[in-house]
Amino acid sequence: MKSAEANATRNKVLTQVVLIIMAFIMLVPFAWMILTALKTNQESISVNPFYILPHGGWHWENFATVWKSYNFVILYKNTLLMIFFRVVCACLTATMAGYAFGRLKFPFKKFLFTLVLVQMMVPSQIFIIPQYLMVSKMGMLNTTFGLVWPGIVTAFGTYLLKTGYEGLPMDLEEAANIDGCSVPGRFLHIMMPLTRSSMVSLGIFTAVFAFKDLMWPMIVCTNANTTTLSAGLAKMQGQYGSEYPTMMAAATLAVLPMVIIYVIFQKQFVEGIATSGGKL
Amino acid sequence: MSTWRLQMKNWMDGEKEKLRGKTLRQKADYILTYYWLWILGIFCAVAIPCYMVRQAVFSVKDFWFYAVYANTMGNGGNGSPLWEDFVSYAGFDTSLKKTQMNDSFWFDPSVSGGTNNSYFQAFAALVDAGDLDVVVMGREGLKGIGSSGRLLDLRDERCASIYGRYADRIVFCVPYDTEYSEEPVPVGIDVSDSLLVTKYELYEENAVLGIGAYTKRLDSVELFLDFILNGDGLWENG
Repeated sequence: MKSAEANATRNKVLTQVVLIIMAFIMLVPFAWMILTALKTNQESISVNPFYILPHGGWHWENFATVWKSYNFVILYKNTLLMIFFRVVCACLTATMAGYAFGRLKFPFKKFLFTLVLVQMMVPSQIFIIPQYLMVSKMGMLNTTFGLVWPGIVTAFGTYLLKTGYEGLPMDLEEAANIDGCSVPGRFLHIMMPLTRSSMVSLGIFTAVFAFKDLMWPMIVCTNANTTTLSAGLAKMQGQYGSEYPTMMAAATLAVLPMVIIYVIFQKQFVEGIATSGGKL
Repeated sequence: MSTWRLQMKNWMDGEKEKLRGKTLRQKADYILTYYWLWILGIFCAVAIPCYMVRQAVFSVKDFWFYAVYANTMGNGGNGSPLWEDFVSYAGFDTSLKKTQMNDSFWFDPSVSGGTNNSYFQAFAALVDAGDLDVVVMGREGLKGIGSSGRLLDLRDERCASIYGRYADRIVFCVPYDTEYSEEPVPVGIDVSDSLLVTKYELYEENAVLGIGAYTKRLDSVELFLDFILNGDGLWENG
């Protein structure tokens, strides 16, 4: 008996030690980024392994340098606007399409859903040129709308929400139907609130992918006033390519919104990944 | 009265009945609870088309010129001294059409895996969409792009005058598509002694200019070549 308890304790301790080591390994790049941001350029390129911490003091002025060189307020604003509109549009269109595919009966339903799935099976780069031409011809280059455009409708979201709606019991909708509730009423007041967890998953996925997106902002937003953090960082790579502390200070400032969003929505992030089975 | 109008009237009467006797706040709560999606939908249905029409009609869509400076540490983007000097030199009215210069691209087609990034994909999209007029980068990198067929063959009759004027600066590449040509194809113009290097310091060593395979603005390209190779003297002479 005692031996079983000792085994259980030993396993628990071992698991926790492994997890702590893994967590430490995951944190090293972020710690390195922040520590490099506080060093001088000489310290940052030193190969001495003991130069982990800044020796000649903490150089907070690196943050001031990038903050002054680039209008981070505008970069934050553009990025957050893009994320907000992409999340709203993706959730709105995916929930309606998901309900239609998951619950309603209409002609060519399977064929149309196959078309949605086909969209997921081809590389997204294929759509870049037609999307760019559309945005360009509509005069939407260098606008928030241009940034949001490819994210308005999402095949993955439609699939995710369809699965969510299919997983709900039919009884709920049938009961509402008997009580005289119309299709929009059933969708809006009964079914949609029950797929909240799927929508949160979709929102999180959309937000993270929008934040990471580099290619699209680089194509459609070339002005400093309309670009996003990812494309702004790419620009800084040119300007501060050999000044690692400044680059790392910019990178630290760039990841801040996502860290804040993660801290606020930590529970939903974990639930979202568990619900969708995806990885960010 | 048609059935639809009768249904609408009944619905309106029913909703008015439900709102009767409620305070303003209660009415607002009721409407937002039961009609928020309709309100949002109607707002989007009105606002988005209006915005799109406004942009399509009034925004500046076409380009005078579109250039990409790849792998540069210098500042050659919109609003940079290079951009301002060229717009002024060419006499482009930017309220009618846009002059676009982008210095944020990082890729190297001359090395294995050097194009497996978002920068190159974005660049390829610009070329294939026909918007990109010129790309400037190092010699080997440009030869790599030329080999893939994304640069204009300078023997093309559309750019005969460019080929004639800058024959002593031509850079050749061997295309991957041997059916197109087994001989080296002229795809670039050496601009290592141009203002891009000497004045604007976009490149330290060699710089070669290639013309987008699907560009339609060869007159602007010629003007740009004039500016970077001969512009300084003309500029100083007014």
